[in-house]
Amino acid sequence: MRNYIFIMLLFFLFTCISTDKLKKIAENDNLKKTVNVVKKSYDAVRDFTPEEEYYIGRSAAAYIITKYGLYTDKQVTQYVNMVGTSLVLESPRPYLYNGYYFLVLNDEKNINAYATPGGHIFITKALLKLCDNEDELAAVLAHEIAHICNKDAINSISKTKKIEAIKSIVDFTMEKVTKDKEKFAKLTNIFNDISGIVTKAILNGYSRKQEDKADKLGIRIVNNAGYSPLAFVNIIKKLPNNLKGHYKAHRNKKDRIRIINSELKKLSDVNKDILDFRKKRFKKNIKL
Amino acid sequence: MKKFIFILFLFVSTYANDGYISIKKAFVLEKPNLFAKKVAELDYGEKVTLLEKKGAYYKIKFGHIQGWLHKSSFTSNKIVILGKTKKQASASEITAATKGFNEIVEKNYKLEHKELRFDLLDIGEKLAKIDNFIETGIVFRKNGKLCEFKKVGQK
Repeated sequence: MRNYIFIMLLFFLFTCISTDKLKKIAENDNLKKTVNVVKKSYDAVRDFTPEEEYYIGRSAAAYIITKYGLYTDKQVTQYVNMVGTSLVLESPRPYLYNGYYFLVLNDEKNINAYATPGGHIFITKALLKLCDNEDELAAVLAHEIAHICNKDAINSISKTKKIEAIKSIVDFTMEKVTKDKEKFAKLTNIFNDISGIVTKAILNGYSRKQEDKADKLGIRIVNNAGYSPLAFVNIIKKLPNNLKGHYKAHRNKKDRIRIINSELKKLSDVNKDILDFRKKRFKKNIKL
Repeated sequence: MKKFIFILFLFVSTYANDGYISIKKAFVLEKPNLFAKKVAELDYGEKVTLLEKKGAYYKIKFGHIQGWLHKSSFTSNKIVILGKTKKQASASEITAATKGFNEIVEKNYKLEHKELRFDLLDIGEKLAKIDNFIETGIVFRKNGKLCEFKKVGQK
């Protein structure tokens, strides 16, 4: 019985009480030492904070922009952001640390789209040109939003690497920036490693399972927002068979469409038609 | 012994209701609905008390403010921001708050990766911010029959 209570106590303390509270409870030095040990262990197993995810995402985004270039047309970018924001509002993660950014990459050759954990969603000019209307653009963006909601890029970091990173964070304080350059360099190196892993995962694509999940969630986001999820099938049909990079990781078109259609059957209300107004709005705003 | 367990349970339950704002600026809403009236804005790391859960929304209390937050802007993991809570936080709390990947680490990373176009990224982040976001967004969704203006199975 005592053992049981002890385990229960530890469990509750570890899962329910913030380490901040634990510190306040601690009155004597021994208890403080114990609390610090528990706190360090807790920190070592914690997830990246939303702020950390944002900065990891920014480094990946900087790499992608450097590689493909940024299309800086304000009208096009703002329009893509209006579509994206409408979708985000109906997603499981409408709020990110610093919001979502929908950006067009100045790449006319590669048909692709990417998403970083920092909320940056990229669509290449080539893929944007392939879209015939707003609902098809929405389908592309929703798939990427789904990757962010499912935390696919962050989950590509192995447990070992994550623990190493968190340990490095725990061992370091910014107050010592000027004093402890060696540790700061180590922290930057870890950031470099993590950024490399995440960027590689974003560019090369995820597992089939993750891509299927992103399609399934994407369809729901599109439908919840009021767009037609049938546009999902339309845009996939138009994709060439010999895709490179992230889009290469998807199933072949036939299998992808089959999965999407079976998911569509699960939805109680499907918006079947693509509104004329949205078709015209797309043509008016997307002039590449 | 039973009394001890009961007290322990009450104690733990009391302390389990704290949480933190996980995004830079969070809107506290009057109702558990994304399009409800905004009653306040809270900053990243603000500590709030969780009062109730309803679907994807949490009812919270912060000082005299009460309202609803989407769960994606709330975390039960501790967040403390250096500077903002410096006066209230203990030294150890500040130490914890200043750890992690942040602006300072990015600055150092940039020095080692001068080839990366962070300048273009900053331009992109600014470009993506919609002018008059709230008003423009409502008109965009209304005209396109989206989100709060959608009709089920709409044509």
